[in-house]
Amino acid sequence: MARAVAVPKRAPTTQPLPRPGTMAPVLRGLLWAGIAFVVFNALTLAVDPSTQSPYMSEPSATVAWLAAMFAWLLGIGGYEAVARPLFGSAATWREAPGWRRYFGYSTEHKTIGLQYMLMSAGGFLVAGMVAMAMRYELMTPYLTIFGTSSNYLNAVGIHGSIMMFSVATVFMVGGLGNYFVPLMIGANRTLFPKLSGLSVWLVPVGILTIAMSPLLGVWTTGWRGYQPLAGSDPGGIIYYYLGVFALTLSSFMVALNLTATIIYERAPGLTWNRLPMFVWGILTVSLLNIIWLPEIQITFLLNLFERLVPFNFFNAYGSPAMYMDLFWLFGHPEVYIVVVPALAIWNEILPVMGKKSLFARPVAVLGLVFVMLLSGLVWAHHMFTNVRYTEQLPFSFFTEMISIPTGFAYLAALGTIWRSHLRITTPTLLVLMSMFNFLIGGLTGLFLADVPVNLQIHNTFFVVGHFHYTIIGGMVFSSFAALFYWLPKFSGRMFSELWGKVGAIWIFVAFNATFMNFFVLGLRGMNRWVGVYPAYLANENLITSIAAFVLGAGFLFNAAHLAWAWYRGRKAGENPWGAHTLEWQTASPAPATNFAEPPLVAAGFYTYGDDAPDVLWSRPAVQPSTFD
Amino acid sequence: MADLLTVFAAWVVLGGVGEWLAVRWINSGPWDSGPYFYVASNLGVVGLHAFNFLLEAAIPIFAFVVVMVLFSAIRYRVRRGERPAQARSQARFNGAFVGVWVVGSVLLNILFWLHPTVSGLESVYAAQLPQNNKGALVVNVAARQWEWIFSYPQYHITQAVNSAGLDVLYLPVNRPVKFVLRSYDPFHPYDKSVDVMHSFWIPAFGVKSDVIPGQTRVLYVEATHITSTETNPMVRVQCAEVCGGGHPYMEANVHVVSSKDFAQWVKQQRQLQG
Amino acid sequence: MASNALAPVPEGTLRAHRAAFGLFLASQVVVFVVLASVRFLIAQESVAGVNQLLGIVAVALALVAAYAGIRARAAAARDLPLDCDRRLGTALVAGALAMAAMFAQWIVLGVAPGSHYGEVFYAMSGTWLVYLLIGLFLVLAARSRGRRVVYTAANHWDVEAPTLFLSWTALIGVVVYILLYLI
Repeated sequence: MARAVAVPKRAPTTQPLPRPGTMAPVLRGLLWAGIAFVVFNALTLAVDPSTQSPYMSEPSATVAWLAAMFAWLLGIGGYEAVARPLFGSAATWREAPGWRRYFGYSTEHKTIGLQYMLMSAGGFLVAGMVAMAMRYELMTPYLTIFGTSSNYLNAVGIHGSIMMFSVATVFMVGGLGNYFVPLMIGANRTLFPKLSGLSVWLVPVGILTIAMSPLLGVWTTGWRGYQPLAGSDPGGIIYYYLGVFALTLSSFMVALNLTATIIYERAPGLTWNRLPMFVWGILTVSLLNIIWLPEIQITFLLNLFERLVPFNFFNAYGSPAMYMDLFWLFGHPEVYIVVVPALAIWNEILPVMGKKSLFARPVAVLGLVFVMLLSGLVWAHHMFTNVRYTEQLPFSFFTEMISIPTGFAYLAALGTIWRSHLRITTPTLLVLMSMFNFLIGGLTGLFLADVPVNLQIHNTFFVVGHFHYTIIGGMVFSSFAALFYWLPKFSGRMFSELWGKVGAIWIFVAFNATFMNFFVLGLRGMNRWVGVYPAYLANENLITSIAAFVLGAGFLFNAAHLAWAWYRGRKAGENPWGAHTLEWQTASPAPATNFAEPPLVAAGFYTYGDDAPDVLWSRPAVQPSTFD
Repeated sequence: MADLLTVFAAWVVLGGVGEWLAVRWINSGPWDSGPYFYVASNLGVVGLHAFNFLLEAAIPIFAFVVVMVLFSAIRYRVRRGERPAQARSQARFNGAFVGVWVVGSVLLNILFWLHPTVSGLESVYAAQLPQNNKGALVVNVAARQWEWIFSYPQYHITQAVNSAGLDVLYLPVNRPVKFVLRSYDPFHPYDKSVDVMHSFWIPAFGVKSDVIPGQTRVLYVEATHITSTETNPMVRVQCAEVCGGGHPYMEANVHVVSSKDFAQWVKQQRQLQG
Repeated sequence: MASNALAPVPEGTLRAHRAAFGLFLASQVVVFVVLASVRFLIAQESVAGVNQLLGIVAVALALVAAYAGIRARAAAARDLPLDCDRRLGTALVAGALAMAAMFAQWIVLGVAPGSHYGEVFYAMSGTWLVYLLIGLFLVLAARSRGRRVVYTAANHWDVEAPTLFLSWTALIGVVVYILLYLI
């Protein structure tokens, strides 16, 4: 694969540069959003004056936010790229060259993927810092930095909402999915690039809306938004609803785009039977998203209108239990949306690192599919303490059953590494750590699925430990594994094995030291949503907080290492791991046009061994990378 | 073959150590409360036994996966300086392994559903039948933001308070108690039913019940040991569903006393009410 | 205007767009499933206080708008851009009148304040109106675009999608009508 021609570091762009004096897209978006916000706020107040304040009311804040969201999307490039062509003008949007293109509207799937990943990482940073503040508060049984208990509860809600809706469901699907699905199926684009380009800019809207929501009033419900408390909470909760609406809208667009791309843009020879594991993960997750995101969106809008109009759907005159059903109908599939791509990543990376064919691949795929199918049948296990006795048994049954297909990912992974030739690289280490952590998360789920036990540990820190083990242990560790694994593909450079392993061990030890305590705290009687707690729990909380600070530092360390390696790491070849999947059969870093001609797939990607067939009919000359 | 034997041996050892530690934990604590740390009610014992069973069942599963991961990572790793070659064995399927895994996981999950879930719930349901709770003490629990109000209608006590004026829950030992739970604010100026979800939880009793506005829920529990919040802080009423800023403070002290002491306390409360 | 004629869309791409759009429309049905569930969970009282005439008029006008959309699509498929433009205009007018009829219904709805049925009525019909508004906006955009570029038989997806959306909205309107006016 030697390069025949030396190429300049920056190839000349074929489009003219934007005219000087054109405002940077992000600034223009902010300006337009600001103007729209003020104008529509005033208009709403003119039509519907408020008795409480001349400057803002809940309806005016809602209308102003909607106008600002549209204005933001127009300002960052949607006006030239989407709105004007919609009405017939020619598309005049020009992407800036170089690093500037990440700060504006883009239709290129790799740019969008990186934008999603960076914004998601920003959400992780914001919500992570909130978590550090929460753990600082919990070091003592009395209130310290938060001042009031409500402030602490608002932090809990912001932490949970931003983590769930902008990190857990976005990083692997919107980020890694947008970047790698076309590459892995041999396509050069996704099917709806314009929609995709808009969707990514909803993520900062959502994160900032939720993060700034306390400005409208401190809300205390936590990320679940239970009624009737939400109805009596101060006004900030409407920006929780709207922020989540923006983030779920973004994820919905991603789901439609990637589903259609996977179905229709596969390269010749890439049959369903040969679909890569990560792509299976993204497909099942996208189908789940398509079904359930509209459900939670209308639920949150009903909650919003319950406040604004007002209605009586979810208070004592209606049915608070109905809110719980509507929330958890989405809420449970949501956690599988979080974890299924992680399970897929394990079986994506382990065959490569072990130089061994993926064991029981059809079973692994069936596992992902059956998890998806069963995920809508278990929601009331979040409500064992308030449903009828007759409902507890069937939901407990399905909860037990869903652990079976979840185990298939382990079946395939363990069978693959058995008698393999396993390179213990940083990605391998992180995948094995993820398997260990998710195992603990899953086994503690066994206790929660048991109704008599659930009656004790529901709404205690045991549950918080369980879902942090499954989400951080499953999704976050797998995301780091994917980042290290695919770093050569992103940047053409390799990370440092020493510092990669140091970072992995750092977060693994700190993570377990932090969250293992949560199970004990829950069993000892610590309930959720408390900034103050009885003094007998103080010592354990202190230790947990210190471990949490070490964990936070560990995440920062890993992020810094990745950033350093991206620009200064040792140059890697096109396919340093010797993987068979299509993204590795093109240049690293990936060129602007992924594949000069569609690759003709000849065999599955997970067969290794000395006599494994070549996955492509013929190997095209690898074009030089001009994408920087 | 040697690999299989090593894995099996490691599994037995790790599982054995895990079981030994688990049994030590299970047999620790007052009245063998083990993982529940302090159990003082009939329902709590049901939950505790379920937890213990699952703990002992989960350990071999945990040990198996951990042993397989560690063994493979150590035994089959590419050593320093070694060139990573393709693995010699490229088995893509093993009917025995997959068959045992699938059948085993199905059977285990059905087992766990039957026992301890269904079997435990049968005990819990039986304990909730009124005919099994004859002579129950009725305690009306009104949950409001952010206070638990206990009233004893059988004794005409409208609000049980201690000497500091704080709500307190007194219960006689070994007598079934019928908690009638409502989210209800008797002090609200104009709308007593405008309240939020709470959850009635006494950690030492091993059970909780959500309290939902608009619903009246009944929970039958029997305290099995004489104890109090001062003896062990897990014996307290703690709200377990976020209900606003006062949620962490929504607690009440609990005293489980002998029937004689309980009768005396009732007399005291009625004198307080005048 | 020939230079503004749109290039033909490859058949594979058109199929993909249609399938994705169908998936999108199927997903939005979930919204009305939730609203219908809310109707039956807390508003079990029977229909009362509605003006049947306004309800029928609103749905009928929505169906007329959808039909006009279908005819517009047929015209575009036969390379008749002027007919297409005219029929899209008809769809806009009919759709706007449907919205007006529903607003009139809102004004004259005779339900007690706080009645669950009334609240569900406003929530469900309001959601439907939002979808109708979006559909009319997209039809307006398609008509405006059609005055600058030429839709051809081989490329009129810009007409197909909004009119499909309008048809779907009209069908949902029928379901909403049944749920709010009949049962």
